[in-house]
Amino acid sequence: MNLMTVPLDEIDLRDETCRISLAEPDEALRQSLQLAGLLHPLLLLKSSPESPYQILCGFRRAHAARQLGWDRIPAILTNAAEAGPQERLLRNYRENRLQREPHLCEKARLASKLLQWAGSTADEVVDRLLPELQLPANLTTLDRLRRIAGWPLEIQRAACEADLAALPLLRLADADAPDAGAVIRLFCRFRWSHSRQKELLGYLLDLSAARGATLRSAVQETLQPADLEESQASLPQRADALRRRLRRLRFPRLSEAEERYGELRRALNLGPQIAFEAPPDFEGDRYRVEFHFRNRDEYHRSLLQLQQAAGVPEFDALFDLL
Amino acid sequence: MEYLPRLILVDETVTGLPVTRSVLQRFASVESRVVSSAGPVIEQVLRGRHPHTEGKRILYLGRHQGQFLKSCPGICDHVTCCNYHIMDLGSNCPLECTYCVLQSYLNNPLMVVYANIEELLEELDAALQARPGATLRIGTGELTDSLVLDSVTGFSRWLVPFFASRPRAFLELKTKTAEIGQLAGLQPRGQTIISWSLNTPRIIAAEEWKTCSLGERLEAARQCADWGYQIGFHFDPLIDYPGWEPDYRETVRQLYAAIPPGKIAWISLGALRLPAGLRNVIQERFPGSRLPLGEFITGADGKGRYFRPRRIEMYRRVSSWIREHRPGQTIYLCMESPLVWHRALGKAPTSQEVSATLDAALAGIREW
Repeated sequence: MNLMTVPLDEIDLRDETCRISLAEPDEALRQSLQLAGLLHPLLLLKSSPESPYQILCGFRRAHAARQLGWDRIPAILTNAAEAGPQERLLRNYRENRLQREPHLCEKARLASKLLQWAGSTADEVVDRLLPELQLPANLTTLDRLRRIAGWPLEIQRAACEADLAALPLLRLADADAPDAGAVIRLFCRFRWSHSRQKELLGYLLDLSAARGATLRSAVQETLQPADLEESQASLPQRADALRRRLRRLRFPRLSEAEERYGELRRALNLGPQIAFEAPPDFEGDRYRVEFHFRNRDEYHRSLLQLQQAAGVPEFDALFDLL
Repeated sequence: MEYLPRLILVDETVTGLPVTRSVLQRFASVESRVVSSAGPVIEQVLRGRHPHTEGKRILYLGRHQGQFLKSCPGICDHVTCCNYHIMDLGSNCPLECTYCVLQSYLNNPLMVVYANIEELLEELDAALQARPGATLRIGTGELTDSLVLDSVTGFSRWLVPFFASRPRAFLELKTKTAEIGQLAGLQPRGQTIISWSLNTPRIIAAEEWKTCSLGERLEAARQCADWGYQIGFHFDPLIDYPGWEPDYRETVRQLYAAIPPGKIAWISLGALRLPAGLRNVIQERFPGSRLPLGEFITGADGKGRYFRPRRIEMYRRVSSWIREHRPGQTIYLCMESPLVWHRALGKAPTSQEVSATLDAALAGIREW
């Protein structure tokens, strides 16, 4: 391998054969190149004296350099004898992983390219690659990765940019591209945490299955105009309202009990210093009361509130929920 | 059902045992290999597309390591238990119930039969002698259907006579099959209960693949009762679906039309439970199943359960239909809290009281 400076116009920037990353060059990268130069050379392949350079690692850097008007760029050269097709893809993946954990969609692209372009067998990918990707080493997972890699690039890129979690995406892999796209766009819009994504995808899958409808129609039916109206409420508020609506559709009896409990709990008129909690999912047989006090007065005030709460008509109704 | 493996693996430590010889003779046309470990085959199956389905087609004849006799894993603090004991003669099941917990519980996807039954009987004998005053109810249906491979293994022909001569020990063989051929001609002397998991014809057709129909199960139960066995039934899992009430009521009616009430030692009720992980397996393996679409909450044991008021309603209804036919029928709930017992059945016995009631039910049948 040789380190040298290569004319940018001798690099085929359209050849993305070895590209795994879905990220595009951004302003931060351009600024870094301007301020500090290229700290980490590209890895290029020269297949023959006549052919242009093929990028193995450094697509974003090369594109950013082109956007900045650079003529030449530092690069390490390798050749086909040193790096076979599988090695080229894996180098790209591993270099990306040095900087950040690749997204599932990028892992899917790697697996798919190994199979379709690099001549790897399914068994090789399952046995050698999937453990490295920290994914279950079985053919079912590989099938799902291939389906994800087959989604339109814009959907993959959206999932990647919104940092959609791996588990929900693997479940989504069984859906067709329009369904997957509808869910991913929804998740991109509302920016739920990974655990919420898992929860909400579960609701959507169940609701669509229960109705015999597509996922995208479940998404459309659940969304209300106010969810999209930025002036109505903050994004977290709208996201939470949508989550609660989905949960209510999925768990109508439990939601009804929770709402009833909320009404009764409010009627007790207890101060914020008193925690009055129902058992999780109303599965237990008792409520839990906890209060904090710093002195005799606070202690007596809390006791008085609890005593008064026992006198309101709603108090007895609480026990119907247990 | 007719079980036919595509491959038999024989652990090198059980090659000469009677059960091994019997199984190999029965499946003489099936490829068999002697192995020192099933590990490589298990790994290969697990990395495939359908490990659950493919694993069942490989029969592994192995040696059970460690203790055979164990307490039922359902025993825990927050539920009332019946003090049941289990012994595993194998693991996995060729039947395909969509809700089967084994799909998420077993690490080994192969159909396993433990061939060292003589060691089991020795251990059991020692355990019973060590507890001279205790009554033990012992089941073999925890990790497999007790009878589904009985015509292949012949286990019941070892077990039923063994228990027949031990008056403080009761054997329960739980099944969804009508594989009762090996039970004929044995003398159970009241010590063996053959029990059937029952469900409505609609659930059997949709969710209990490869099992026998309700009619076949009840006919097999009637036959076993005629042969002198005690009979038990388990409405477990009870499944909530539109129309469950008339369906379960009719199933109860058919049960009592087929079996003399006095022959039924007990009936248990248990609403569907989904351990963590099982839901995904059901959705992957049986995408048409509507079971995962039920309204489940997470119970204190971490399992998905129907919302409690719904479970109580189901237990109340089904138990009332049972009692219409036999007011004194021994009914118990499986893995439910004292509160659910109280609201569903009007009493909240301790685990010891439930255990004593079931023991007494067996004694009552013996005197019948």
